[in-house]
Amino acid sequence: MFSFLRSYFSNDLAIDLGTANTLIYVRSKGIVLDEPSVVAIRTEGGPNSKKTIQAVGKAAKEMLGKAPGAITVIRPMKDGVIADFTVTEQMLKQFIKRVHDSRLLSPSPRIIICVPSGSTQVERRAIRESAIGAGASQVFLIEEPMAAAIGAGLPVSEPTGSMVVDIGGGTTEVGVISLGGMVYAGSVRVGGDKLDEAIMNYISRNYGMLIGENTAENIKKKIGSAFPGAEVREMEVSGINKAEGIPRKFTISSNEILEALTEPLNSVVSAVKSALEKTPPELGADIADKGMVLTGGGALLRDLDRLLMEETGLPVIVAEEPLTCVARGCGMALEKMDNLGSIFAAD
Amino acid sequence: MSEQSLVSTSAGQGPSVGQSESAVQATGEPPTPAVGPVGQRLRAAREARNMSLAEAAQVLKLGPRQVGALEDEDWTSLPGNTMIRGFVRNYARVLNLDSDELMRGLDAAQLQRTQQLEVSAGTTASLPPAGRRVERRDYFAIVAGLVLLALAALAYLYVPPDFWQSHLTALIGSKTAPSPVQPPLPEPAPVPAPVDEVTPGKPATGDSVTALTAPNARLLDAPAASPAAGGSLQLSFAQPARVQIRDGRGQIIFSELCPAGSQREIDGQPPFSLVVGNASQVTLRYRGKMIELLPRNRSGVARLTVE
Repeated sequence: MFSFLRSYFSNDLAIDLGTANTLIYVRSKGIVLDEPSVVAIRTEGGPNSKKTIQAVGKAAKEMLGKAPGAITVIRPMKDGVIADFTVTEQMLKQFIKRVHDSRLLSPSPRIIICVPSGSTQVERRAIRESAIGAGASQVFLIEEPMAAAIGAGLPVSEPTGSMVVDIGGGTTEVGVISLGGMVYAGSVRVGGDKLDEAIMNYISRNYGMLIGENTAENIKKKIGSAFPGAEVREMEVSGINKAEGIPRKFTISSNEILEALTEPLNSVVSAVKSALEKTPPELGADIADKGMVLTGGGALLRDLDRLLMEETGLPVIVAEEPLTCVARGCGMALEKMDNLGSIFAAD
Repeated sequence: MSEQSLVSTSAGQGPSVGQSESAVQATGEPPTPAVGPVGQRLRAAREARNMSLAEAAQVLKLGPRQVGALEDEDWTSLPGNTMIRGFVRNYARVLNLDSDELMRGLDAAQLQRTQQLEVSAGTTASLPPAGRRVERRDYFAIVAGLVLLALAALAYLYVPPDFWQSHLTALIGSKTAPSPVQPPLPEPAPVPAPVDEVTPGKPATGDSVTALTAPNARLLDAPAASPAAGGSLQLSFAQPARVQIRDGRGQIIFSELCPAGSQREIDGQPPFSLVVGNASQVTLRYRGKMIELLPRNRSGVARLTVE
């Protein structure tokens, strides 16, 4: 009933609800929250057995793989979409509460939230509903490649083709944008998580060692690369030896990680190639001139741009601060929300 | 150009990248006005590596024209700020230069940022949405129509059927009030019977009885047995008949279905307008004078005004 009043006291938000990280941009403040999309839930036994949220964000991520039986650490987003509706809603609620100072009224902001371009109607509805459940008065959806392109500073509203490749935690989004709209949008469910998984599988297969997700992510960040470089880097890793069942240390080199990442990276390359194939020729000419922009955490993988350059023969650049591109793009859309119709996604 | 010269060149240009004009002058070599520090550094580093423009373009997957434009700092022929920064970063990586320093140089160059988001709306006209045919305006029209209908229905149900007629008559009556002698209708239609004979012994004032609807009523005789000052209508019914009488104010003073053999006497303020059903079976007297009712239509209804 008093939602209009509460929305008057609430700041509008733009949320990049990603598989790996959730970023929140507050109108006229910028990005105020950057937390992993992880929730730890404690199940209490006894007569009043119930489930409570133990931790959200960074604190919960630290518990990943280290929690006792009573605490379940959940990543409620999978492949860019909601895997666990209730937990996502609670996580969003916690995050929104964190960025709101007002204690008098529970916040009821207008929210722009981004969705993968390849998500289905059901998945979009789920994201919208969970944002409304978390207290939003109105929810607008924006497709991730569009947000990424805006955040990277591409001229999205001009009659010229811009290509953006957003490699997130769960999905890789490829978009060709012109005149404020998506001309082509492709999405493959390969992202940072798949790269981690590939590294875990490679080490298990070739070294007979089991490592956790966080370790795999660290390896990827430190010595992972997408293209054979001049220098070979090495890293000491510890895991559990499958045969002996005892923790051991071993050293792995960047060339091995390159080999491990070949398969998921090939999916990214083929997604980019198929986008180029399906781009109308006029826009293709613009892209040949300007190249494509890499955004998202995956763009930080060493030499990924060189891999794409060699594979496509087009210039490829990595956006500045690729991790926050989508959130910044959402935020810019938020600032000018009232006169931007075409960039928002329909249901 | 040798490796050494590269070092010296980059060292010499180092401060100028940091946008300080005085530092440039201090080194004693003012930069070429056309080309800024970023382009110069890129070109110098490339030449130091004995790399041709075409080779650099091949590695960067750019056209030689674009690489040349980067080195000449011809930003207008390159596609936008984001791309220029990306190209320079890539180029710096190929040449093993510190890209942060070059980025600061680009910041100093103040490239115009393309950050307008709005797709310029050519016009403000908008097409109606495909799914919804009925627009808001149409809703208003529909609602207004419904309200009018409802009002009409209410009026039909609750306002007496002769409301307007009586009001209109009252209006006309009030207009004609100053000259009550005059009949309400302008022309006392051609009366075949000698109208003025009605009251031979009396002056032709308001007492005269005028059969306005001439064919309907005719004054027959005038017995002097009705000295009533106010108007008094006497009706006797041989057969059942319906009678409605209005007085001079336009109000209905009598309206009922009278049974056979009954008699009615009605007083009121003349002139009276009468509607008499089954007129051939009704006898009307006014101030003792007999008035013949001539039915006008086949159903036997007579309408007349008596003064």
